[in-house]
Amino acid sequence: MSANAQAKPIKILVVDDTVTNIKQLEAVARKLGHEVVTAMDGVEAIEKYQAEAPELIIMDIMMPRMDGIEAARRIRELPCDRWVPIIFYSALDSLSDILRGFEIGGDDYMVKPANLQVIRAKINGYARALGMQEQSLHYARELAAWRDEAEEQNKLGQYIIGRLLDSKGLRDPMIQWRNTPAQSFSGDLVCAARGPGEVLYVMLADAAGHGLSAALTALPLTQVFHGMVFKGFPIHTIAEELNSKLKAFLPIDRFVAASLAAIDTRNQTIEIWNGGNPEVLFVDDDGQVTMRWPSRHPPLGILPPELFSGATEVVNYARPGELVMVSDGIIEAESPDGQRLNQAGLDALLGQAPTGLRLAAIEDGVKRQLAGRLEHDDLSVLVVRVPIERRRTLRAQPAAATAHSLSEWRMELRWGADELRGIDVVPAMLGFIGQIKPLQPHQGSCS
Amino acid sequence: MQISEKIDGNTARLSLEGRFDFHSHRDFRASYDALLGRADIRDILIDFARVDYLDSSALGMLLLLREKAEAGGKKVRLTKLTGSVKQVLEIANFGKLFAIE
Repeated sequence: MSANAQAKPIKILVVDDTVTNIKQLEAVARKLGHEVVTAMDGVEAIEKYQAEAPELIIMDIMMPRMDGIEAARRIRELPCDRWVPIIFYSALDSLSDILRGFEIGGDDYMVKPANLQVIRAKINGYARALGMQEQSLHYARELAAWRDEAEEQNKLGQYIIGRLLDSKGLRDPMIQWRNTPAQSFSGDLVCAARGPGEVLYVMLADAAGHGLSAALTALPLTQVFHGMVFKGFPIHTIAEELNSKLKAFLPIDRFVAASLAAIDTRNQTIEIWNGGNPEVLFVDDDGQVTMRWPSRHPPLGILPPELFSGATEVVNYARPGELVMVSDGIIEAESPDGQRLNQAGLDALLGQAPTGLRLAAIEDGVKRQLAGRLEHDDLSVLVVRVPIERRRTLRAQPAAATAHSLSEWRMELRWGADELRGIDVVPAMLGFIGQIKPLQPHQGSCS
Repeated sequence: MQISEKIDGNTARLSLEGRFDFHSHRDFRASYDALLGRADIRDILIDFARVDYLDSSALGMLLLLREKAEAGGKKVRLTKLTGSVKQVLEIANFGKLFAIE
């Protein structure tokens, strides 16, 4: 609203013990289009102020019962959520009278009798200012409503996303993890689940950006990950499927860096796919980083399926240790003087902490690096304990299947070279076997 | 982020300076929008010599530029990558998506 805009009509309280003065001011104000309420003394002024909620007050000073100064002082003490200007209009013209008017909270002072043109100009000036106040109060109210609504949506979003991301795999005794959002939502994602044959699958994903938009970007990954792990798909197929899903769902400028690992303690192998995340590390029990898997691929959701590579790296391990995955927020954690933690800093943190305490060591190290600064990126860490198992153990002993009437079943599947080239054997076999009801409770427990 | 443009024949060089992050969205887009409409420009060269920070939103903006440029038969090349900027682009394997000099 510009200062020259036509003033909106306002409600004016005119207080004076002389009827002719009231009539004069009332006539001027009404002619300008404003509404007028009147009072004959200070007591009535307060009553009318409370009953009529005027937007501007023109107040005489010398009046019976209660003078204008006292009335103005009491009005200023009343609770109020907006500015209601008070113009004193009095025959008292000494400097001390005028200053007293301002001291108790008056906004202006006119000495009687004032020129009519000046009165008109003053009233309109205040009406314009009040119009601007009205406008900004309106904006403030609108903003507050937006904020309330956003908070409400945030709460619901956090609840739903929290539910969607939780899984019993994340409570696996082999893993420790932490995911600290920069805002109310994290664009980082940590997933863990057991596949058939006790193989532990983990994923640490980091969606571009942060906040709710990043959290939404990463969300499609969880269902695909859990579904495919449960069915026994290998990592390269899981990576391909995650990429296709994201490519189909996300706009061009959105993508998700991810590292996937399958840890098979029975065969002592670790298989890794890393697209866009910092190096995945294997730390032995002496704190040495003995293996590294740098990012070999662009992040998920960028390449079309025909150009995407799910190629993984598989290693055998002979000594126990821990597999460590971090999001880039960790290595990019910046000290107040602009020093980043970097890969070397992370390696050092891992070397200083014993097995089992490395997650805490990374957290402490990042906190020291930031030195009180607020991190602007999501921070996540996943540590998998990789043991050497002396003997095969099952996490849970399912009930024996032999007691069932179908216990005498036998099944044989044959695949030739052509089929073997084109299918993932474990999920294909489990697809058949899963049809047999008494075996369903055993799925995922043993191969 | 400051962006300056220099056109040499069929190549437009956009020299970036400062932090290339989610705040740069509007400026970066404005810097290439006009170039995409010009038939004489075949190559868009992004010069990172004076960029000291690059985040994942910036990578997204590069992908968007690449998509639009390719739709118009233009190539996007990245040049003068150093330090942490080079590191971020390497981790994201953007060498598989862009010509890098």
